[in-house]
Amino acid sequence: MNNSNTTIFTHDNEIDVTHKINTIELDNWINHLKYIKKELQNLIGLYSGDVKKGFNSISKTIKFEKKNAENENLLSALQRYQLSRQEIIECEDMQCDMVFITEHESYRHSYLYHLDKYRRLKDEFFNEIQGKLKLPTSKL
Amino acid sequence: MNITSFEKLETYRKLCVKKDLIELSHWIDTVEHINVELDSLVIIEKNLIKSQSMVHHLQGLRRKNTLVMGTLCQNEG
Repeated sequence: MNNSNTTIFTHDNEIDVTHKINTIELDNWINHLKYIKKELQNLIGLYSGDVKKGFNSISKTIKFEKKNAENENLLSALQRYQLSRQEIIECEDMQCDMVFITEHESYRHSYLYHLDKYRRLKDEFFNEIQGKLKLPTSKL
Repeated sequence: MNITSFEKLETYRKLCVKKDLIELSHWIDTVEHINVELDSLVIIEKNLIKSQSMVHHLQGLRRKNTLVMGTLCQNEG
């Protein structure tokens, strides 16, 4: 199977279709992590700028930087896995295909776990911002 | 098509539908989260940014988000 080809044809068997769907899904995960990378850089930038006044900025910056490192690790792992998927074409038996399919499910778990943790951190950030900003609004 | 290959195909079809439904529920979760995030961004805009164009931009995003959510929920049913 050509890894770059993600078009599903009627003559594809179930294994080909699964590999193609997984390839598309992996591209989406990588794009999402690249976006999170940019977002984290902005959030770290915010805390080093004017917004940090009155906030527990040091602890939050450390948390964002830690999350940034975790994001970078997962992104590199997914990109390595993306490269390794070029070997799917050499699979000759079901066992080989299943290795890739199982690996994909394991990366799905890591991606969703990372996403959940990142969302919790971002919620924490927004709650902190909202707590500080709601009071002046009520005075207006 | 014999019975065995038909059963095999049917099992595979069911698995695909199951996998798609799990993925769909993750997409719905993501869209829901974007909605919550937009609430926070609106508060930040009101208090810090105070830009009318940003208000319109956020309103537009919320509308699009609601439409996407509608499409996804329709698909789920």
